[in-house]
Amino acid sequence: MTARQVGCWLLVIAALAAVPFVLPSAFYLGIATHALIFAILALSLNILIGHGGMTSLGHAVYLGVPAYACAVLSMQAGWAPLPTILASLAIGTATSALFGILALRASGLGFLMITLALGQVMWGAAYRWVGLTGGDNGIRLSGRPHLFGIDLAEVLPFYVLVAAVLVGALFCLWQLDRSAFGACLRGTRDQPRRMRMLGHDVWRIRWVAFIASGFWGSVAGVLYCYDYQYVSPAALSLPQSAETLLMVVLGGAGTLAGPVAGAIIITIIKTVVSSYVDRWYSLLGLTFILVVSVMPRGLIPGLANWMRGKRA
Amino acid sequence: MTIPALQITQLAKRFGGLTATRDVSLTVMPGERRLLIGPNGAGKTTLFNQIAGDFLPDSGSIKLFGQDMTRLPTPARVRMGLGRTYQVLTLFPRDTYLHNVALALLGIEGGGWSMWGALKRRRDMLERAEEALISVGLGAVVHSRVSETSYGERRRLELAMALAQKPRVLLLDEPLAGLSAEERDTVRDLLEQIPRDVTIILIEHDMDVALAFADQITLLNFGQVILEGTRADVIADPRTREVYLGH
Amino acid sequence: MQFWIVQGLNSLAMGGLLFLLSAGFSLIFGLLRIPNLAHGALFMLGAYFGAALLGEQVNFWLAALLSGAGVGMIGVVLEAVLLRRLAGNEQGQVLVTLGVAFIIADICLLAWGGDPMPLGAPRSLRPPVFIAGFAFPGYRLVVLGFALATALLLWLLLERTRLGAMIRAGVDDREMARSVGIPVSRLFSAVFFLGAFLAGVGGVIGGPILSAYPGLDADMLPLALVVVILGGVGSLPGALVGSLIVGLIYNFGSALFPDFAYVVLFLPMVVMLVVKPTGLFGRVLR
Repeated sequence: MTARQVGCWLLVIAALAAVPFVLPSAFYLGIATHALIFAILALSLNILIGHGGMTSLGHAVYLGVPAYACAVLSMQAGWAPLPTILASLAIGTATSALFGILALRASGLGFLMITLALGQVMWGAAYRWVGLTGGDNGIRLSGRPHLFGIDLAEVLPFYVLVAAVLVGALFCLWQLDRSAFGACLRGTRDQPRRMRMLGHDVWRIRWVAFIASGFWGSVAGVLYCYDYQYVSPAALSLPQSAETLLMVVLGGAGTLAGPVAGAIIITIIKTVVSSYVDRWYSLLGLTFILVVSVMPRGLIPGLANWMRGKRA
Repeated sequence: MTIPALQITQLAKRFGGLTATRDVSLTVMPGERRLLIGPNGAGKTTLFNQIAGDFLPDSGSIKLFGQDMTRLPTPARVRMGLGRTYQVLTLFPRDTYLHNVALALLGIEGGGWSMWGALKRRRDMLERAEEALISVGLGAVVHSRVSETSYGERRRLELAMALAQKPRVLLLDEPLAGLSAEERDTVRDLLEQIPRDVTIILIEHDMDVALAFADQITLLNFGQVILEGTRADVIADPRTREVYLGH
Repeated sequence: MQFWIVQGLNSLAMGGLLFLLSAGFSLIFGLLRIPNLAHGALFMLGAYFGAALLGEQVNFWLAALLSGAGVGMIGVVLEAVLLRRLAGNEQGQVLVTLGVAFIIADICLLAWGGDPMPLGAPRSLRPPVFIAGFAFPGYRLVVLGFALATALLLWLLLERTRLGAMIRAGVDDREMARSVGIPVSRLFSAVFFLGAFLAGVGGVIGGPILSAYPGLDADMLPLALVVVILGGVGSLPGALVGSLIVGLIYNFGSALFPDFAYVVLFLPMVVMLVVKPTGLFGRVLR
């Protein structure tokens, strides 16, 4: 790593470490925790959208399925935390491997419609399969687990865990961004036909990206389950998929900072607005229209452009 | 007996009511320079697309050095030694020249699955990519983005990406399209420098360059082979005149 | 026996409703290349308009027509004000239709509250009809008839009129249509009106069966997607056949295994994707 890159990473870690000291109460630290979990989710979707050029409208699947798995395994099957977490990650990732095969039968708008439809399947299953999921009532956890001797029930240790996972995710995705695979994935986004003619298996590159996206989504899903200690069909709903997509598009697809910024902004808006008025969906809809019309490339690339313009 | 570099037998493809390729048979020997000519819409590029595997034929077969590849997907054909350039530039415009060629090397050598470690660290591969660029006279733009360079340079990048893969059979689709007279000379020289262990099939409308380059010529029209022979034979044949000047 | 016959008719009626919903969705997608994710919301809006009008003692069929016209106008405005400026930006257009869907759903919730609003069928159609000794719910027969008549009218419109010829040309090849002088932007408005109108009418006609409730949009939109993936994008026969298949599975699924009805619904879509990704009547779009 260059000195500049080391500096960047230290800055990110310092900023995350400062949050508990800056925020006035545990309530706000809880909100910060939500935001960071959605940042991981948005980063996972960004693999598909930003690098792969595949717009998915069913990404809630990789939040909700592992979250449900986590809740069912710990509450109904009575598994210990560690096997529960590993199994939930495996189930979420396996779902993405399966759904990826189906969704990648099409590309572009077809891909979008299939991911949306598959998302609705899982939502419908969670809603109607009351015996397993509790239907509309969802599943409530009895509390957060002890992990490696640390009690995660308190707000601060849980925040530290989430922040650490986020840094890990950022680092892995930064590597992916610069890696040969990242280059190939962007190649399939820009010139799929040429990539094939250069000897690349375009379908498999996209599928692997889909699975990587599902894995990191599942990481967010497990954290989500422990964070809220509650899972309901809302975690699998179309609005959840749409919110995640909006985080990526608002922040800036294809960048590392964009999805994180988008997740933080959307979480803040959602929390603030829902404490005053009950019109979150209208606001979500308006934000969509506004972002597409005013900032189609997103906040972070827009800012970068603007700063470059100032310097020049 | 020598095995042909490329052997196409009775290849046929219809799209709905439209016949794209009608019983095309073509045999190209190793080291040969074969020119495909024919008016616009004669099916030259469509034939390239089929050799490359963009779509599968209704019937017939395609063999590369005796190995059947009729039903293989494109990447498998590339690994067997097939290379291709496009008439319409098909590059990665946001990336550098080096990156473009690196993608070509990753495609042929594998190693595109690594998710850890920067591509920039693959020094050995990048050096070879740079050599490929220098060999077509693009040493000055190695680190330039494609979108910032001239059309002539991009044309040569098309060629460099294909050549970097060291193909055994190379399909060149109008490598001179849109170039100035001076740039044409440069590319002509480059084509002539390609060693004879690469078999070349060329589509080109610049007849001065193409005729000088080719050993054998195949004339296509309406998706079928009208005529095949040496340069002199094809030029002298009245059917050539007929195809180009109308009946 | 009575069970199977009645469920069969219910399935066909549901299929008819789905056709009203998805024919417009399919045409809009085929011509404008926009998967109009607000389509479920437009259907729901039609249902609420219908419920409101019926509350004012308006005649049922007039209410359906007025609601359809109202929803159709909203569709035209949506296309002209928001979507047209984003021509070529497919992802942007999808996001905007999704945004509009959320806003419509929220406005419906604000205006009509969270409780389901029933829509009464016309009084004369409520009693069962007896055919060959079996009792048929009268209104469902009418829904099926209405949908089939609409399918016939749409088919005549597409195959026998100038407007239809232009729409078909646009679906086949947009650039070609533009270059031969078809007024593509007016055509887009017309198709958006037609699609939204059908969705709005469908909401009212479906009202006595489904009623109007928050979440109706999210229930209907995936059904339209499944129909279109099954039948093929931009194809009217595809929409009809796909709707009837989905209607059958929906009804028998709900009756036989209620827990998994919603999941079973998507099985034919999965099979179709594996076997023939372009759908039954689909073509590759240019």
